[in-house]
Order: sequence, then C-alpha cells, then structure tokens
Amino acid sequence: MQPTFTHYHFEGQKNGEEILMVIHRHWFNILTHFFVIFFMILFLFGSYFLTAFFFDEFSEQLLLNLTAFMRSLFFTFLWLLFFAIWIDYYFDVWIVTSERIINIEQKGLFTRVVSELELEKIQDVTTDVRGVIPTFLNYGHLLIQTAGERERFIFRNVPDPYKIKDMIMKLQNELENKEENEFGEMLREKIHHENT
Amino acid sequence: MFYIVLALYAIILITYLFLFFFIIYHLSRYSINAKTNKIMLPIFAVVSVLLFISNLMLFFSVDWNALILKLIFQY
Repeated sequence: MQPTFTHYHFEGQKNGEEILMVIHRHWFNILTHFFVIFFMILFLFGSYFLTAFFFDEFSEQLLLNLTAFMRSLFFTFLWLLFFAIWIDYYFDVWIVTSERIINIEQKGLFTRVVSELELEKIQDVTTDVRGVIPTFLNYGHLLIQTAGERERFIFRNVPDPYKIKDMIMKLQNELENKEENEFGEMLREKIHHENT
Repeated sequence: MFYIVLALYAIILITYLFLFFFIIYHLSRYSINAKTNKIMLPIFAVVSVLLFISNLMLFFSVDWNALILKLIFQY
C-alpha cells in the first residue's frame, strides 16, 4: 500500500500540489550521530561508580549535592543535544510533489537552505551506492542532472535510491507525455480551425 | 564567591533557554508532518521544563560557600 501524505504540509505548497514522497536520510545515518549520545550516557552512568570508587570524600553530603547537580546539568544538555541531532536529521528532507522536488537542507539549528527543482527540468537521474554498509542496507546518493543553472541536485544517503529514481523518472515521463498531448491537441484544434 | 558561581550558572541557563526556544521554534515553524509535531513538541517542552526546574533545585541545594572554602582552602 502506498503511504499517504495528507497530514503533511510545507511552506510554499501550491494549491492542488500533491505530495507524493517525503524522503529523509537513511536511519543508519542518524544512528552514527546517536552513538555520541550513547557514549555520553555511558559516561554519565560510569561516573556514579567512578566517583564512589576513586574519591572517598565524595560520600560527604556537600559533594554528593554537587555531583547530583553536575549530573543533572550534563543530562539536561544531553537532552538538548539529542533534539538538536534529531532536528538536523528530521528536518533535512526531500519532498517530491506532482510538480517539483523540494530540497530542505537543515544543518544544525542555525542553517537552513531550501531549494527546488521543477520536474520538467530533469535531464538525467543517477544512483550512487558505495561501500559495504550502504550496499547491505540499500541506501546511497541520488544525483539529478538538470537543465538549469544548478547542475546537480543531490539526495544524500537516502533509503532505496533505486525506487526513488524509478518514481522520479516515471513522474517526469508522465509530465512529458502530458505536455506532448496538450501540444498535439492544440495543433489538432488549429488545423481543424483552419480547415473549417 | 557565591555570586561568581551564580553568574556562571546564569550564563549556562541563558544558553539553555536560548537553545530551548530555538528548538521549540523549529518544531512549531518548520515541521512538515503535523502528526509528529503534535507528539514531539509536548514531549520536548514538558521534559525540558522538568529538567530545568530540577536543575535549578539541585543548584540551590548545594552550599556553594562551604564548597568553595573546602575546595580552595581545604577547610
């Protein structure tokens, strides 16, 4: 069953423009970032044992309060870091609509670049899956060659790039056929008009 | 001495609040999926506020004057 995107909406969405696909980076990509969080949590738990083992004076109430405060502060910022990483992942998105492709590039919390490409400007779509893990997990880059000023439009580390490539090519063909049909219809009407 | 610690802590708190509001802004302004937004925004806001309050309470539970005397003068 095809997923529906009825509850999705992006800034600048045109009337009648249908969202066909929303693509985030592959989950393995965020997993590597979450390893940092994981090790920091390990460090946090490790600190309970280490302080008790190495520092006898830490058993005093004064220092116990201090370590509790420091751990709380550390965890509070870890919580923010977790969300900052999640935002960087989740808001870095490619949206394929019935008319165009929108690339929203989120870098950290303070950089956000939005670019778009009309489907009719697509000339060529290439997939690039490199390495053992990307091959095994089926993710990689998708490069779109355009006729515009910007030569290439890149989908980085997206899951199942072959499927996305097929879908984009299919959409582009449908759009081309539609334009050809409209042009043919216009010619037929004109010829018919001249004959009568 | 306590006021120096308090000033340093205030800088940390301001940084925290700045990041907190910026994440809230991102979640409410740029989210393309209304469903995810409805889940993530309350989770983030509630947990962050709880962590913030608990951290404030822990900060004021430490006797900073005594601690500084102990650490610096081994008193």
